[in-house]
Amino acid sequence: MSETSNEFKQALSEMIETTYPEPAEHPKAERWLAYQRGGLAAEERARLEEHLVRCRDCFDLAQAAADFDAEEAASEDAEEASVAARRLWRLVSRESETASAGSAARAPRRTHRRRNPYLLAAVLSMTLLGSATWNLVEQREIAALRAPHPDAPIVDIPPAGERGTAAETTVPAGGPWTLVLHPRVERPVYRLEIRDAASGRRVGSYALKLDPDVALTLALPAGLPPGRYRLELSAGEFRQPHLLRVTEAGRAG
Amino acid sequence: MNWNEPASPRAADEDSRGTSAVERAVADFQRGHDRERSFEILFAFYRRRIAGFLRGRVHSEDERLDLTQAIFLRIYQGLEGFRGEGSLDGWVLQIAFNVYRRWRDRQPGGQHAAPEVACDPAGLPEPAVPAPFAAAADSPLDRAVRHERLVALRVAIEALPRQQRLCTELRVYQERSVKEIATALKISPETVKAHLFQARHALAGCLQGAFGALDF
Repeated sequence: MSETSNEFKQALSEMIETTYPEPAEHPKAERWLAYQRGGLAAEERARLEEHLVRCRDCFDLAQAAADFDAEEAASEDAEEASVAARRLWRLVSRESETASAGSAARAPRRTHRRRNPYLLAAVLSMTLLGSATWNLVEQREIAALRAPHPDAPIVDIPPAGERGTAAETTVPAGGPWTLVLHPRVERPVYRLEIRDAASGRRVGSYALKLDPDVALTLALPAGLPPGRYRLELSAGEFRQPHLLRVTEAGRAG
Repeated sequence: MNWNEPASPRAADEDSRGTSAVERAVADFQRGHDRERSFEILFAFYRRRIAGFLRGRVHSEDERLDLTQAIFLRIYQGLEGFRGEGSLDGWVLQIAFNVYRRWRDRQPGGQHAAPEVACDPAGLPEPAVPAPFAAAADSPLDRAVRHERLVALRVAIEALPRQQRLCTELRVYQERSVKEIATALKISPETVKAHLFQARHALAGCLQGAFGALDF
């Protein structure tokens, strides 16, 4: 919608919110399933439709019911489904027993032994969704580096320009930063190397994984000292360079 | 209003068709009889439907895997207490939706997302604050004019045929896409577009440009 219709939108919003009170009760998922399946009387169907206008959550739930029901009966490999189910059974029964036991002495979260359920999850992902194998060591490294500081400024690195050319971004020195990179091509895991532009000396090397919104996030608690840096984002044959100029603190360049 | 009375017999019959094996599995699970086999039956029955629900909402395969596991874990933990007051499908869907919604609200931009700070706040323009429809410093005349316009708008909206009104309200108030409206109202996207087109023309005629261009 254009800016010129903002007035109409505001007026309509005010009209709806004053004319139709916010619903006190909301249909449950089962009701929305029945609605999607055509199993309601016309009057109730009409009431549910009116409810949709006023309630975003119920609108989302109605959509969920439609998608949930849309999946056709599987003509899948029964053996594959059985194997996946048994693996998931071991995972959920173990998780549930651990939670109900309420163990006070928890094992460290990131030991290899504790990772075994996640290894099962990795195998399960191949069975369930046919996705690529998950690297557990890089998963831990990625999770740690993606965790941002609450108030860290975002340094946005845009996608690459013409082939062979690297765009440049200027930021003042001083961390913490959160680097957000937008690669042109999707890969399971990326490696980011930060080198001094003049000497080529490697300052840092990180393994990164794509965010759901197709961006790579890296937390740098201390930022980088003033200078000019070449960022080289790579994965397999994919290469994406970028120049980062860090000025003295307080100067934006 | 009690939304959650039992569905009509026609719907109940349709729900039960094809799910008797699942219902037996639930009963066996609750009795403690071969729980692993019972869970396997439930998993085989629901995993594609849960995958279908998540596919359009969660772009990362790894996140979908995590959420699928979380959903089945909740199903496992709650199955013993499931009393069959509603359908099993509805119960599973509610679990799946609740797990997804909690995840969604923690994502950037969600209700419980961590705030982001601009890299150089001093260099950014001030955010444009939309002029409120109801300004605090309105004179009595302004308020009277606004009230009349709202009344005129309500009359115009309520004069629309029902489907046109619903499509317009969902499109403008909730900012839903044509496809989302089509799914929600169980009509085709082309029908939604047609309703919106007709509604725009009808409202333009009634409101005589009182709210500027109607572009929705």
